[in-house]
Amino acid sequence: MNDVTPEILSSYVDGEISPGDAAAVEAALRDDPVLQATLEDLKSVDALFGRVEAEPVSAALLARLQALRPIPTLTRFEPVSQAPVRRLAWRPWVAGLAATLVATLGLLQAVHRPEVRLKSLARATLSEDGRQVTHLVARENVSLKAGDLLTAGPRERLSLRLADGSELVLLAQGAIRLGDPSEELFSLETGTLLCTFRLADQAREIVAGGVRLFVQDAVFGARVEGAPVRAAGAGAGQTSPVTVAVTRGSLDFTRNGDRGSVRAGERVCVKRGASVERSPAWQDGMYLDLLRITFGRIAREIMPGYFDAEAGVAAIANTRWQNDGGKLVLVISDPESASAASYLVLRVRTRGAAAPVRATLVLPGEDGRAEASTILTPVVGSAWTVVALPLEAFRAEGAERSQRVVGSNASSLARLELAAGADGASLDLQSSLWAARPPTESSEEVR
Amino acid sequence: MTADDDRLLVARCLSAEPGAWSLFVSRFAPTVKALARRYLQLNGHFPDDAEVEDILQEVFLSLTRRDFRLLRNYDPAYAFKTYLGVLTRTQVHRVLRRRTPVLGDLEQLDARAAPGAGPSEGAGESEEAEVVERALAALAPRDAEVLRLRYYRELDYREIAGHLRIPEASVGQTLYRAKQRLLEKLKGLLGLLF
Repeated sequence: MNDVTPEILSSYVDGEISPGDAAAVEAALRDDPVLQATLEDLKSVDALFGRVEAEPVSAALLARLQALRPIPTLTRFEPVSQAPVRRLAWRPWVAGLAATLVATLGLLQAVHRPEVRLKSLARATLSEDGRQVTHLVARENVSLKAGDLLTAGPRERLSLRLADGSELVLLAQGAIRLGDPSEELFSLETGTLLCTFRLADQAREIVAGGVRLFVQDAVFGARVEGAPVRAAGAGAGQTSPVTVAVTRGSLDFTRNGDRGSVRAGERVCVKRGASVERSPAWQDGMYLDLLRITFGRIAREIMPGYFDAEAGVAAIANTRWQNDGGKLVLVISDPESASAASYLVLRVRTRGAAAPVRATLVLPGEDGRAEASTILTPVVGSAWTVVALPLEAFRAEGAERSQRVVGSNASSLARLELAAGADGASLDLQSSLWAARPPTESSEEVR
Repeated sequence: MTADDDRLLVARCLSAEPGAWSLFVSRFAPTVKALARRYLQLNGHFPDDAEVEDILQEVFLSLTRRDFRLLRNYDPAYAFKTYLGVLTRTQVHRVLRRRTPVLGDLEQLDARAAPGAGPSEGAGESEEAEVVERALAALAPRDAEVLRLRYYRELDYREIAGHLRIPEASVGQTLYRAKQRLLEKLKGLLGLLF
């Protein structure tokens, strides 16, 4: 072939020329940048229709993706205020947050005392039928040192415990490199920084991804205890507007000298230096959700609906894990915890192979066992999967029996058995379990 | 692997046939990875492997959401790889959009952050499809047809010649011109390739 025209090149891309001609095209391509550019254009057209030369994917990633399972239609997480709360007669076994649940992770114990420690929060979502559980990935609580690279995905919240005891919460999608705490706390390597923070009460300067931040008294999803909430700091006049959402009750605010009020489900943008105060009707359990903080040239969204770790969630007391014939068994032996709990929230991950995990809740009774199972599917082998088990679903069959069991002095009121479903998989579990409490009567007044 | 094999595999996944999803992943993950890289490059980003694999993972996660909603939405009139291209572009767009600093109207940002506007469930994929569809619609019918035959129905030159009733030898040229015009339209539509 003497002359490789764009048309011939196009046929070459389409695989419609003879091997001999293809060799000639390839030879011509080697030394001809114009032809190479044309080839790239043609490949771009192919790519628009999904045609590309496949790239190898690592076996580990393939295995993780293969372990994914269809996630059932979910009830979206909504702020608690939007959940149905008209439950006048709350009974331990049948009440529940029918549509909403938020998982929270406790602070975990690190093996080493790190200079900077990471914890993370994640949400779990329940499906409408209340049986299925799903996950949002949370990262492990790990020791970190300067130079370490963290990756963060959507809805993950990384919280850095700094040496002075204050805490820095980061929301990012991308990779963050930790710096030396005495200099730069972190820098954003790739992706997006959704940054928010809660620091000790002095103004502080943070350099993040080349952007200088000044913050003071910033609050993120924090429970408000007493003092007025300063939603935006006064530090150096550089703190930018924040948006505050009220998820329960109402909130009075001042903005540029004007007073206003924001009710549940509404949001207010608070400019620099403005303050937000609790309304007189403020009650325990209300909290603010800081949706977004804008600073410098970075403005990012922060997922709404973060849940206050303390409100409505209580640790189950008196639980212990046992190794029972290869199964991990959680024994719940505290009647009060067992009866107050409507969900168990736990974190699971598998090692060796991304494998589904069968969770079986067993309620022993005088006349046999009542049990129900659900399959948990950890998403990514290296990350924690947060799952929420609605006890209601387990109890549906035998509420009466459950009541009786709880009322008895049985040493094991309920057992949660977990077994990995594949050979070669081992299971890591966070032994801290949580249960979400249904709204109490007092919360019904908060509309 | 033909386009029909792909369609069949999608159907097998939807009917929860054992092993179908694993096969689906091993067949399409390499394609999605390559697509992600190319779409990023087309927007001037030269990603490393981790970045590309993040997008790959997001695409597959999005497929599993809502009980395979995106798979159920797939219209077999198109080659499945075309649809994967759309989904991958959607994810790439999301990533790029997040990177672009947004300053200004907070109310607008609020609206975007509204509950229910989660990152995974948007109607983005149809918007993306529209870009290529719009460009196709703006082409001369003959150009659009040859592209559809080639890419949606995955016909070879001989088959295309039969459909269009033209000599097989001229299919290459016809197709090349159509590709060129499509590229021009797309550049005109968006200022970008997609």
